[in-house]
Amino acid sequence: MKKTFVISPYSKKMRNGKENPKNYPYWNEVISSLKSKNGNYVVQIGIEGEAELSGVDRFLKGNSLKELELLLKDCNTWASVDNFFQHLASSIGKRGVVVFGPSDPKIFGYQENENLLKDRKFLKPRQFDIWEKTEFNSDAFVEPQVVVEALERLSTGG
Amino acid sequence: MKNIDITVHVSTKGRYFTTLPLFLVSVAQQTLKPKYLIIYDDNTPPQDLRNHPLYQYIFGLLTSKGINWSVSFGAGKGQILNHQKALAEAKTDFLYRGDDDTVLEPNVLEVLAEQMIDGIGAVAPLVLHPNQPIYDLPRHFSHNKIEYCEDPTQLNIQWFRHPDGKVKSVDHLYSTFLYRKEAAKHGYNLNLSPVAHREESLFTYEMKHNGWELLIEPNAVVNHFRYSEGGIRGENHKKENFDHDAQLFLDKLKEWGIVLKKKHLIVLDSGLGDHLVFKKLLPKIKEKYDNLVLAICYNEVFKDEKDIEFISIHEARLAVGNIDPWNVYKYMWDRSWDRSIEEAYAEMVGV
Repeated sequence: MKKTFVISPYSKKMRNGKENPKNYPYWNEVISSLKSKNGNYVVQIGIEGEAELSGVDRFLKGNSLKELELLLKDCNTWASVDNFFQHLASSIGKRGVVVFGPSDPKIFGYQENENLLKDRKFLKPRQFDIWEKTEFNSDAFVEPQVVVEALERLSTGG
Repeated sequence: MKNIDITVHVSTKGRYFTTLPLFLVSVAQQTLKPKYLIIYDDNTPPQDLRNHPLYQYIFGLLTSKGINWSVSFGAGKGQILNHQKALAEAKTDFLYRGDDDTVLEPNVLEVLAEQMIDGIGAVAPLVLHPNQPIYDLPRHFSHNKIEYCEDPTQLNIQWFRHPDGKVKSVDHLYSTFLYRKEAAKHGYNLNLSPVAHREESLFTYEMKHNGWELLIEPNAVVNHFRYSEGGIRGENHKKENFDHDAQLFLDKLKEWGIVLKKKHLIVLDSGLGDHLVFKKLLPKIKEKYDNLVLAICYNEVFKDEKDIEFISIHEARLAVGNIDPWNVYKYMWDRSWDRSIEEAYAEMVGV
């Protein structure tokens, strides 16, 4: 059965112009895998200036929080990095998948979500320091298949 | 122009050759000239300023403008006695109490006098500090309501520009103002220490208490040079004097039946996600705190909220200076926090 997934793929842009270390590097692979099965529908949300992921059906930019809440309610499930979206979803009780890298899901995540952390050894030592001091490291993240499986689990009520 | 007779009085100490001349010249240049100017000289020993070339020019200027000036020697016991003396000695129905480190814009007396209609006890100008940025009046300020006079987030509104340009009815005034002798029959509180902390609030609120209206006219601007040298408080500038006066002030408020209030400020100088986390706690926070003021970055998160005043981070900084006490990341850092950010917010704001 065709399902709708909402993806919020980026964390806030950093002041030094570098890649935010919380950004997940394998979204394109995740979307490709989701799209290959049952013709799933994938919606990317974000803001003006953010790159569109390849293969998404829609890229919604600059939506209000109310609009995003409606989107969340209508979708099967959602995925994001450690950004505002998990907090918005939590406020309306919608479970989803959060891909963590250097930030700690015990502090910034919600137990009801599927918090995907590859290894605690990749957490930044000073969790509350500014992100500009942390370098992006693609090794800190789980493989795309792990994200896809988590999304499928949640979308089937698992 | 409303033509009323005004006596300007000023107490001075240690500022003969710094800010006092600036004040006097600004009085001479008023578009509505005062009839009298009395300088209460608290210097020990005082100088005969008539012998100094600079003051020969200044006094000559005042005379040429039709202002009857005089110098009276204070007892060196602080400004309260001098202000009280001015009340007793003034021959006019209206007095302007000046500060010896202020400079009046030329229209101050004229603009204040325009507001001096029946029932008005005193009218004050803005008192701005041009050595630093001058900001617009924050929206959440209580317009000098007496019940908020001990709330550190509610600064005196005379220190800000008022973009609306509207005259405001207030409960008490600060620093410098035009007042009606009849409204000041109660006089200055002579029980205050020589530093006379809170004396303007006591003096003007008592007018209000007695049925007179007090106004702030933002189209009149006095520049306060807040000069560090000299000053009428001088060597009396001691903590015990301030403590004494603060207690006297609180006792008087109690006597007048004033119940003090405070606004509860919380500052969210943080990201959208942090705002959303905080919002979950809002029902508990509203239950615990009345008069809630939230300084926020993302209005949209709270747009359906009622009974809360929202201000900007800039306004919060104006009101309290340091906003670090509300930095949840600092809070967590300082405590080597390892629980959720929601729990950190809850503990930080006390819910």
